[in-house]
Amino acid sequence: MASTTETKQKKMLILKSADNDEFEIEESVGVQSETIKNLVEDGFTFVPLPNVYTKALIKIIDYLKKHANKTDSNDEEIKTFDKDFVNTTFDDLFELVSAANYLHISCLMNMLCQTIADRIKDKSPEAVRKIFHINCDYTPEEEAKIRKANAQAFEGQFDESLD
Amino acid sequence: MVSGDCTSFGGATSPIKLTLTHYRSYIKQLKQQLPICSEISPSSEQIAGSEDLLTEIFLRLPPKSLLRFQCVSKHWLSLISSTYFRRLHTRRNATSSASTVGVFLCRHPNYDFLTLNEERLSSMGRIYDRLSDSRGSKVLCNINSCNGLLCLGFKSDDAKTEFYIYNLTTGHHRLIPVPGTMVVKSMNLAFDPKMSDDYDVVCVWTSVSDNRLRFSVYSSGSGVWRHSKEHCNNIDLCCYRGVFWKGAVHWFSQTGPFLCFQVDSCLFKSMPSTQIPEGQWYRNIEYFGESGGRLHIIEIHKPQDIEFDVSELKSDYSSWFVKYRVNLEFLTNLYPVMVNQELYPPEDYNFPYAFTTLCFLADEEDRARLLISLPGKIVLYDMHNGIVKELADIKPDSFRNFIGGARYDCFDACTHVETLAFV
Repeated sequence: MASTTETKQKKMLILKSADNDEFEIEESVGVQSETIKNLVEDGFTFVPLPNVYTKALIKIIDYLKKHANKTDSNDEEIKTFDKDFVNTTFDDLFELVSAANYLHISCLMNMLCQTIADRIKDKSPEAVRKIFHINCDYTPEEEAKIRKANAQAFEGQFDESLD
Repeated sequence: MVSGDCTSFGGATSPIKLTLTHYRSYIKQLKQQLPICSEISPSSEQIAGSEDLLTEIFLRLPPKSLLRFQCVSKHWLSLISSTYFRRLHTRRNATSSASTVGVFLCRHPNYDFLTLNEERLSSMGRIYDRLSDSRGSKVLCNINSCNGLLCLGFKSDDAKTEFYIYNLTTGHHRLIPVPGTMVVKSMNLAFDPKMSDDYDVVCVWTSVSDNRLRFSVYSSGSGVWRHSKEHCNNIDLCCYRGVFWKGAVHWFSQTGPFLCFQVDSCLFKSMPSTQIPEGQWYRNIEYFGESGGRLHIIEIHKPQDIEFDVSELKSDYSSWFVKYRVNLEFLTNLYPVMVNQELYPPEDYNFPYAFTTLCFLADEEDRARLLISLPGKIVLYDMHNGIVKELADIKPDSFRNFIGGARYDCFDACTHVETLAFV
């Protein structure tokens, strides 16, 4: 009996989000995050994540679970999962990328940054400002000067949409 | 409970004991993150405030988008225009034929620009316009591209030629100071952003007193010329553009041995030539270039064959080997104009087909594409999936008189990528 419980018993971790929700996950799932891995190696099984909110953490745990079970046969399934995963608002993507950065999950970071880049690359500077919630701090003269110096980058039509 | 024993910490209820060193770094980490997570809306402010995250996103954007986004805010301008970022971006996005945005096509004395991702030839090219802006009444006489930078020679009315390095993406350029004693035959760019932020220009020249080809290297970093002791008598070599690959410039010859010049050491390195077909005194090389980190050659044997090889040089320079066997027979069904039947019956004429292999594009995943000029059309043939894409219609009257109809000639093509590299 002792041996069966031992083989069945997987090492578990508790992750605690910034809004104090706790999630129990398998250690093998969690260590895909370099940050968690370092803590596990130092002996922690309880991991407070003061920089990751519950909403993002739920999604990221989903991602880690899916990618922990990567085999040759479910390649297509994971691709579909990833596609759905990034099909969300910019604000969600930003929250996820901050969390992935903090957790040091490099494949997720890469996917999120690439998604954000692909989605903004054809947009106008005005649209990008709104998406990133940036206030323009140029005077009209300063902005005109930059546009003039890079005239060929402003040739053509740009995407003004915010999604 | 022993501190540092990984099995001894368990569950949410147990207090966490930290080893001292780890405790310090963990608290430091917490302190760094705390001001941000105390905000109500963490996401976009966190992104906007984090240079690391912005840099990660910026590195994945094409140069043109980045130049445009410099006017988003002063903070973005400072990040994007910093030397550190531009070099990082150039290194990261270097030398991938997947990033090839287009091809310069020479139609003497003009240069057209064909974009590879758009459907149609962009009205003989916006990039050409930018070249013409800079040259005034001068004639463009040397064009050599290497990983996004161009070396251009402009000949003025008094037959004096000035050479410039151009980055057409940023619009910046630099004059190469050529000593008066050098009669320039060709200028060849050597730029590998993965190896160095600087580039070299290999100048092939003769002196007024003798006809031997000499070699000198101008380095952008130092602004100094280095003169090689090597020389070569095969004048044929400088008819064609040198091709930069693996730290050396390579020239083919239709009649003699090929040549390889190592930029760092200023020395020749032996390289294999291809066989000259039996009974002939020349090769019939139609393409010689670098793509996807490899050096390729296309020879089309007489009579101009619809079936030919794309050969690749082994990376140890030991030999050329056949990489692809190409048969374009199927294209003649799609484009009967490729066959010179009506005017010149095949049995009487050495060139039964009218086509030019302008460019071979391979990428790191070994996807291979061939850019082909046919009478009146330019097509891109994907050798992996067999798909032929029409890229442009070309007007017959804009061409020199060509047997078999209007098309670009071989060695008239020059690939181009966008880059933020400094000139």
